Amino acid sequence: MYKRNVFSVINPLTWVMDPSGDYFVGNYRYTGFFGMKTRQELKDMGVDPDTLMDRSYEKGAIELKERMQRISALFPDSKLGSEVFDVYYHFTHVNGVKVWTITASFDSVLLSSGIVKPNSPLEAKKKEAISFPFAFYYWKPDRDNPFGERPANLIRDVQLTKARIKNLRLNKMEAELYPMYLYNKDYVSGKDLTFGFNKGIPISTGIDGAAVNLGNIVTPIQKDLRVDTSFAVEQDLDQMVERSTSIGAIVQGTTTQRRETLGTNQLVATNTDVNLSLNEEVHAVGDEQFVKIWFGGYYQNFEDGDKKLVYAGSSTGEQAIVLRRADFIYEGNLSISIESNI
Amino acid sequence: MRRERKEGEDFSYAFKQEIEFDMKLLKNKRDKKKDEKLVGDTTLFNNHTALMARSYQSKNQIKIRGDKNGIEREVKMLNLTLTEDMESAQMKAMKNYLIYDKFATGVAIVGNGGWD
Repeated sequence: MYKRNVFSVINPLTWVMDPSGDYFVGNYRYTGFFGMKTRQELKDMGVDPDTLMDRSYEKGAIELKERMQRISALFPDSKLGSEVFDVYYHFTHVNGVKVWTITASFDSVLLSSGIVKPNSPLEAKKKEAISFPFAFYYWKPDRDNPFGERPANLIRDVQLTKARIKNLRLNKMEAELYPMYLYNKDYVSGKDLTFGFNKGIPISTGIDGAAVNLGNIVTPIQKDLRVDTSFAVEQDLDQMVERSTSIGAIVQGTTTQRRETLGTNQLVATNTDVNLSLNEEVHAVGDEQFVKIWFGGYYQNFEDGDKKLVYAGSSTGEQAIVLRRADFIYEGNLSISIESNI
Repeated sequence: MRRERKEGEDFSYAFKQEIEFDMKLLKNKRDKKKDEKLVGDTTLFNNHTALMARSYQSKNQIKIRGDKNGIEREVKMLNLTLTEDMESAQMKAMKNYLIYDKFATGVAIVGNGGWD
């Protein structure tokens, strides 16, 4: 009844970006995404799905491919063995005008295309100012990498090393548990020693009957019981992660090995918030881009006759207000502020 | 369009390969046959979850300000509409995907998919 914008979070692995673009500041020539359309959606667009090539998996979109395979597996009896078809959305400039296209079958079939509409009255007056309907939220933007920094870049090596240390420790523990023997294979058969989880290593001293001491035919191997110092390395690795991401045990919601006072806990949380406040500032840039496309949805689609029901809180409780286009779409530029939750 | 697409795909290929490797670490996905006896480590998952938990905010943080041109009423209505939309169940769910992507791949992309 009351229509609204439909937003979708696009899988970044399906993103095709402009190498020279700066998406953080919203300055780029073009952008594209892989997507999926079902058989019915294609029919609704006036396209016969049977004329399209089955699927054209693109490089770098393995997650999407797996998802499509899972969905297709739900419809084993369909005509082409596939109910979903991959499509490609492209947004670019043509002669100074911003346009969008949807293509399929390796870009050989044009499903739909159009001109990007303005998001506000000011954009309508000045066509160069029209922005594409996307908002890009970054964690830590990086000029050389369109994906920016991500926690994995700071943690990846530590995680791989920690997994390796843990597995080595497991191996060491296993080796300590297994009873291991050296035996003289000239006198004892290995089969006689292989019971339970005994491990035996055969050696040969050459046959010399008179000099053999029976007590030396089977000898237990001395275990390596040196003190394991890998715990110290692991703790150091953990500290590295805490320093680089500002996320320690208290912030993760887990308890530390020591009992801390309330004051210490609060201090840790406050210092973490100081570090994370920069991330919030960066997030706010994405929010500003988002508000523009949110307003753009109303500006483009909300007709004069449409109504919108909103609830306003007041001292007397919630009050429902019915809005019309003129009530909240005006000619000025949006001035936005974002409240940090930290 | 084809030229731009090829340029973008070629440029992003190496970055995406790296991200897919990271996603395996994040989800602790391993080759079961090959690494049957091995144990993994969840450092990335722990930090990702903590960052998500600290960033998630179900209340709308965005406010639209007036520009002193006597449009207080419109600004008030815009803020009411924005709050109404942002605090809907769909938007709350969307925020979850948004911050998941942001900390997993470094960037989260929200597109205006239409009007319904």
